[in-house]
Amino acid sequence: MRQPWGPGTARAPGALLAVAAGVVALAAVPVVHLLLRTAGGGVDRTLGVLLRPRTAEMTLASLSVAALVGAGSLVLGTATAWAVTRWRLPLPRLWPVLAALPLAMPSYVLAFAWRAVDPAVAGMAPLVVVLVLACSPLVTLPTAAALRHADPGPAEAARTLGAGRLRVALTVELPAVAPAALAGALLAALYALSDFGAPATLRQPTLTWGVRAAYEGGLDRHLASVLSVVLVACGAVLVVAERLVRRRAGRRARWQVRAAEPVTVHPLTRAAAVTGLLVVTAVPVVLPVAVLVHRATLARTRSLDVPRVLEGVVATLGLGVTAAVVVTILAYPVAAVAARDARPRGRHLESAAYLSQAVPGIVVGLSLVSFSLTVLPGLYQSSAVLVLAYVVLFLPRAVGATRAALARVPEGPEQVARSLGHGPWRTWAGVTARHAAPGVAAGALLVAITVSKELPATLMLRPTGVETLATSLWGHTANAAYGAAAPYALALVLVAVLPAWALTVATARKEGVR
Amino acid sequence: MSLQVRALTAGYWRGPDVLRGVDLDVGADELVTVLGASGSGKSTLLRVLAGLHPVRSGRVVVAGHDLTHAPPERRGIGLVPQDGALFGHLTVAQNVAYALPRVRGRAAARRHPRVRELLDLVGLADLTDRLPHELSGGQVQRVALARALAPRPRLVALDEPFSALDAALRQELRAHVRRALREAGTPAVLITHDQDEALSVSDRVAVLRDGVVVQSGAPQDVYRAPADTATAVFLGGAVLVPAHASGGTVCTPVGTFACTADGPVVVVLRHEQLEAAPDAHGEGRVVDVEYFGHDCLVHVRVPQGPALVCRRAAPLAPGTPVTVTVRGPVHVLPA
Repeated sequence: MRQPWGPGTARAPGALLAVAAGVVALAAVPVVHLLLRTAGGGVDRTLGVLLRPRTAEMTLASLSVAALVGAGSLVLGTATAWAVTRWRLPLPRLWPVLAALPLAMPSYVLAFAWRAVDPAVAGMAPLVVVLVLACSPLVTLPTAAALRHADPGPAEAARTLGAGRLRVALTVELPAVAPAALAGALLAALYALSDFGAPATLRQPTLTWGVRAAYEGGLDRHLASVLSVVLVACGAVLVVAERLVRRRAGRRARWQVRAAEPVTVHPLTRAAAVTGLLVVTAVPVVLPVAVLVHRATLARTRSLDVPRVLEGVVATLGLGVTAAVVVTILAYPVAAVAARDARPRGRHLESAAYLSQAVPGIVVGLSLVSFSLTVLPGLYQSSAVLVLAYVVLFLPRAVGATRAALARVPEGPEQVARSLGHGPWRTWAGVTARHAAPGVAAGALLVAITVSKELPATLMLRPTGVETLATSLWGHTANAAYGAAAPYALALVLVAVLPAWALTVATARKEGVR
Repeated sequence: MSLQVRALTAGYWRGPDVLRGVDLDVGADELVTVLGASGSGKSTLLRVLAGLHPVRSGRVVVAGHDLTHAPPERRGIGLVPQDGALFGHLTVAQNVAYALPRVRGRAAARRHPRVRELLDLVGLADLTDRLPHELSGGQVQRVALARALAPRPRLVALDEPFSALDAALRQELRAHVRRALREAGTPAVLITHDQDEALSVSDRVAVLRDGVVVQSGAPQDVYRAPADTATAVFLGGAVLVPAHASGGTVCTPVGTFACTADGPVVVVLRHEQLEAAPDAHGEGRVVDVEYFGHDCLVHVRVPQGPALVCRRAAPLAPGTPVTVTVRGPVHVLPA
């Protein structure tokens, strides 16, 4: 095996291709199993489920949430990105980091904190608000990056052609970052479609909620399968749309060394921007923490069980780190093929890997429960199946991060290393790996954070007796035991938010945010 | 006068002045080149003219209007940036139509008479519906010029518009831009670091050094009579011979010349003024040859003299004995 193959050859060695294809096939197991099971249920029963008014209602609810959250995140995220990159604000280093932080907050903790304040909160509107607050960084981050790296030349030329600031923003600057913002909004919509915790907490029947209800009801597994297929189909549309838009974004981006100078705005505008940024950050991060601390102190005398919370922390971190390592190792061959193989098969493999983004955690959970029960009974409720679920769920993320890191490795030093007599492996270890390591590590950390927040698949697949912070929190909220749940939520916030903070600060520093 | 710049100073955030009192005039229909090395402040000057960079002191007056503090959109100064900076999501016609009122959509832009006129002017009438990423570098620059000319600006400012192009294309495009500006009757300021470009396209050249215009004038005047030795060398190959002048003449190892100055001076000898002729009894020896095809530079060593460089049609073998003579009047600078 000649992996890593030399730069410029643009052909992955067959063995690497085979490994990458194997990983992608592994990630496709839940979907394939789900489709087989659904097909096995027969056409009549399937049509019967599809044509139930209840199915239509839940589908409509899911699509509405996805559309509203996508649109809301697009507006909020673009506005946030504009303010942090284009306007001269006090503490300029702080805002980009703060703006990214809500991403670390699990949406169900947000929903839970809201209900802890007002147990009557429920339904579509609060759900959309919660998800927009949690998801808008998916738009903010790529849009801010695009704005920061956008060539200021066209905007300047437009000014000299007689266009005022507003017209330049609307006709030149925003169109230039529109693909990046739109791709982010599609991801936000996908998140909203796939989310289980927040709709369940806020009692809004969506498809994910319906899958879980059908599974728990236990009478009709076929119902759960059909609803899952509907969910995956909607998700697949969003994933394909996102990929198409992102490809356009990549084509249009002209990365520029010179950055646009931030503009000094009217003090009132500045005050409004700072207030808005504080609200967008504080409401999804600080407010829930405050509410939880308050509830935890109220409940302390009754039910604070420190050893159990610590057990939860250990279980969460253990699963997070294990999954991150496994996912990153499995993602590497796929990313390497995608980054370096110029042939269409490299692109197809990558696209196939990204398609598993369309599969929500609840569907992965459902499918793997049935898969392990029917195909590999020995593995039912083992950590292996749970880690496989995480691989399916987070492979696209790890592939994306690793691919980006590999794409940034300059070819020159690799070629020089080879010409100086280093073989392919030594070049890989000495040059490629060194350059790509920070990006790959950041991707792994991101996976670990996301795994520690994951709820539905963990809920369905965790080995008996294992409780992560997320599942403990879920158990308590289901009984409306807000006081008892608060310590778990707080621990979860710490486990997720602190590494996210460190990661964003490090990324911001690397990107040279002023 | 189309543009008058007076005692202009400008700088970057808390830094020292980059422009330290620039004076510059551009007449109607004139193409003035601001020639400067990198770091001379020429890009800053252009950005100040376009209104993209704030002024610390001094004045910018265009066609009688004081525009020193006007925002870029109220100046009527068209900008042609270094890389064209076309709007990536708009077609060629839409780019050109950007400044025209009430032109919406591809079809409207394509049909607009002003757009057609300008695309004819820059020779791109058949590329109206292309997107910028489908254009070559030279085409991008021509679209940028048409776009800048569309609203009939008072002045066009060109920021090293040819620097990213290869040599052959650069020469062709220079001539094209020159003709287009002349036909449009629009005065222009072009900044460049390339003295060939400055000398070949402009009506007048202003040499910018360390944030000050050290000399301006017609290309041939600036070339023939540079204000100081640095300008002399920057504008083209020259041999600088230190000498002492007295009584209306200056005596050098390559000849004696008429001179109005007195005391220590520097004689500026352009390479093409120095003629090296093979001569078996000549005191000079060829030490090196740089061959360019259309001509060559012959490096000659003369006893007790400076290292001479002579431009010549045909190369000479190193070691050839030569006599060097000086053609035409020489330029003498105070030392």
